[in-house]
Amino acid sequence: MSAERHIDHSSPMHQFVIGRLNDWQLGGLDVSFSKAAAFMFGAVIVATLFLVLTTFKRSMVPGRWQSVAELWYEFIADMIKETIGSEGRKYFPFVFSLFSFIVMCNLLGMLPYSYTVTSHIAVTITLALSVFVLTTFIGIIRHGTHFLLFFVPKGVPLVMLFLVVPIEVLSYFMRPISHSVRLFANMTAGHTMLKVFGAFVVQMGVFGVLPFALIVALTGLEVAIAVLQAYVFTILTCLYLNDAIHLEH
Amino acid sequence: MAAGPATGTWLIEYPSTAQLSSDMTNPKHPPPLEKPSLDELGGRIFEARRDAGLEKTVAELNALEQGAGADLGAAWRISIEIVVALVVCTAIGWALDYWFGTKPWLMLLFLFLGGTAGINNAVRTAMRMDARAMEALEAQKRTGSLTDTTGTTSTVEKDKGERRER
Repeated sequence: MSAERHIDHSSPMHQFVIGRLNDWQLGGLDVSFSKAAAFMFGAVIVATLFLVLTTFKRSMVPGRWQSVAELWYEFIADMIKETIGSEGRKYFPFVFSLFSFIVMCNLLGMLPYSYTVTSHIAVTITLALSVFVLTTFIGIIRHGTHFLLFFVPKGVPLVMLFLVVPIEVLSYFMRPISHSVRLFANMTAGHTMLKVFGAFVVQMGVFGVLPFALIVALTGLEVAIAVLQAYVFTILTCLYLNDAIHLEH
Repeated sequence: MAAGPATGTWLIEYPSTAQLSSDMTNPKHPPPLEKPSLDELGGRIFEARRDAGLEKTVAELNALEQGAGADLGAAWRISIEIVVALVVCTAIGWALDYWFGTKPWLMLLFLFLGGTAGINNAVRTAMRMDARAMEALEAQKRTGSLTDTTGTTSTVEKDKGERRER
């Protein structure tokens, strides 16, 4: 917590400081309601409200808003159908919630004066670990001890297995880390870049128009990346689920 | 659903509703008496959507990913695998060395293992992307050969029409 105070207000990293909105202590634990928690609640509330309100009428011919909600739904449904097949149907709620949460966190982070929850590895690794634990459990429940064959590629000579199996196991355990770092690094890098160029606008006076124009373009790119990285996180979740269900690489 | 051509205003406002509902109650596919399974329902939905030209092809699904920054996303997907595995495994090796006092051998071993695991994951990701791209290409070829002639003629006609208007 003391690290918070060392970050200068004008620093591009200042935007990532987890501010506390109040000061709650519970048995020596800091359980204050933080800015991060507020934005996570916000993402859930905005996504829920949006989907409930737009599909409220359930008209046969969807209006503009209902079309957005249907597109959102079908995007995930198609993704699951394509990567997992019909067996993935029961995991739709999980994948849909995950995508909605991440895309909302990313997009809320694009608003001025807001806070990007997914720029913290604590958040992304929690999401990635929940996917990792879930897929591992699904694999074990569905296949029992056969799940261990996942780490033994077919057609490898017995001698080579001593080398290949540890590598396969390591590869498997690297998954949640790369899964989370990808999202976290993208969001952190993008938002830092925006802040750095923002500082240039102020420092360069009249010539600040140039970095300002760049910021406009970069903001567009960042919105695209916000959606794209949510998509990448979700499709990797689908691929991991597929691995666990069908036991294939 | 029953919103057919009952009232005049509806027809004007939603001209496709009547056609839509007639598609739904297609006499060719009368609703079965028993409750159909989810797979049967899925098949029927797929058929109806395909006949209506609503079903997305693989090429169209891939086109969804071709938006801004998509190549960047693909690059991140692969490169992160290598970097993360290498860095994390080396760190694990270093920590084990620290515990067992075997500097620097476990770190070197894990550096090697991490690099291999990273490349293993990266190659797998790349192969998946490749398989998908090939699928899209084949689908494009298939649908292209079917609709190519009609597609080109229609655009040519459109062009002619536009020119005439000008």
